[in-house]
Amino acid sequence: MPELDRVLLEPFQFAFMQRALGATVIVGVLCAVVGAFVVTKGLGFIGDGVAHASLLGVAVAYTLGQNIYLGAAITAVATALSINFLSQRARLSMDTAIGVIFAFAFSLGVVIMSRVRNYTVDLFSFVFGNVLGVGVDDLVLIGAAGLLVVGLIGLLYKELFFVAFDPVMAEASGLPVARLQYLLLALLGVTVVVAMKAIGIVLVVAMLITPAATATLLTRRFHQIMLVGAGLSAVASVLGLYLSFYANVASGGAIVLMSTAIFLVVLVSTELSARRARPA
Amino acid sequence: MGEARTAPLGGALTDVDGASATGAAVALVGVTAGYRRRVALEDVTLAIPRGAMVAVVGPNGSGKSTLLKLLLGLLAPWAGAVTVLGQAPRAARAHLGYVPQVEAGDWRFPATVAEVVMMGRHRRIGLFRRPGQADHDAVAAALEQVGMADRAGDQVGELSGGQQQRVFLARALVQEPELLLLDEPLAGVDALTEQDVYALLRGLRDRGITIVFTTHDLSTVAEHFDLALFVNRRVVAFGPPSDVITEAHLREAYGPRMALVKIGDRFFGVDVGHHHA
Repeated sequence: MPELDRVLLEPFQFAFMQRALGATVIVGVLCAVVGAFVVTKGLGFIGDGVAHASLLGVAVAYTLGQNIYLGAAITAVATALSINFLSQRARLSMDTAIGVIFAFAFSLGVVIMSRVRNYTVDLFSFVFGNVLGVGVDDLVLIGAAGLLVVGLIGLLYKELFFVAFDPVMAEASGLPVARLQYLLLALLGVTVVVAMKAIGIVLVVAMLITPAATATLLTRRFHQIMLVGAGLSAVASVLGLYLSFYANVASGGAIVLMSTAIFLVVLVSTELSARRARPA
Repeated sequence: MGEARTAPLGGALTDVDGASATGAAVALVGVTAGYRRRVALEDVTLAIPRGAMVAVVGPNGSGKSTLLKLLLGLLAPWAGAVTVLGQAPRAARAHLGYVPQVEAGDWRFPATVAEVVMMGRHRRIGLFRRPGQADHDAVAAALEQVGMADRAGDQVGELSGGQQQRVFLARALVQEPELLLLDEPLAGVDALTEQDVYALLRGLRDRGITIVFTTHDLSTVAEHFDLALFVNRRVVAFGPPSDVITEAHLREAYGPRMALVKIGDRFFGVDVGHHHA
């Protein structure tokens, strides 16, 4: 089928599409691995809050002419850690701490952005994502950060798993539970920033949740949730990229829509097979 | 340190000030501890001999769990000294087994029975390393001991409360402890599991493992334990169960309306002051 070959291969004659492919797959895999914790430990709201709060870092870095990723990363990690600190020390619920801090940082970001005369596509792309505009330096950064996060989770898998299931016993057997919890949230912050350029601040949470949630429909083993989620997420990213290229739509939205479509297909087919397995 | 202590304690305490206190499994001297500004335990002095099976009883909020946290090194005393197996609690962790209350686990988290039991080996395995064959063998043996060998691959969330408690017990067993601490391990457990757990613990005790077990079920203490420790912020009594589970101690801890009723071998604390005409 030469026609299908043309449709599939043509986009990747362009260097910007090759970079976009690399970036979306890395981001997809990364989001799914971190997303396994997000879905099983109910960290969706903190992920969303951290993503929104990072707009403050984007706006400040943009205004000062500094590196936008650096600004976003500092805000994201600082937000994640201060939410955890506030909820533990001030005895507020996690949701309340998130609401207070993310609303503050996001609105300050909006206020600063509204003072910027003609904020360009560049700034817009961080809010809604524009993976087609990923440069070589972006790709290197995304790859390095992705490797860091996945590497740390791989190294500390056993410990993070223990803390996620039973923090009391984990602490009693000598693990630095509080530090591991802070680390996981910091990694969540880094992930959100890495995913920003591809998915956009507003939609990052969907990539943290949907692929991992799809994986939980297929397996109940934690490491398999990570692996299956990563695979599904990579597939959704590539499909979304095609959609974005051919339909000329925003890449972030296209990737999330593809991810949701896969979720629905898996949901319906697992429901159907469960119904078939039931005795009539 | 030489003066006699005045607390109404059993024979187990007599060694506290002497050299043999270092031979005790657990020794507390003048320990006061709490949270923020609330005192949970006050001026507690006691020594638990090695190889004893000890029930820690008392009302809710009496400091039973606080005592366990002190022994685990999760809480530092405000005053006094805690010694576990002759060392500071944190240093003794490698030789401790711990069964937390079943609520400590996030049972919705995707984990299999074998994976949860393996958590007990983490300390031995070490950071960044994967479990080896010896660890897998230990997990299989522990599951066999608690009668859960056929459930190794099942999700822990699908188990009953009693089965979840067995999983926690198996996790403590793979720690190969010299001292086993259990926090209300029989809360919400069926009678069959209760008998199994006691039989298992007696087996461990007979191998020289010291067992400290918190419970607010007074009825089974005389039947199963060598020693009973009655706490109510302070030590109310410590010694053989028959000396400790008395009406006088019960009233001291639970209030004047309590009476002790003996049915068969079992003692029950009964609230006799609560009648409506």
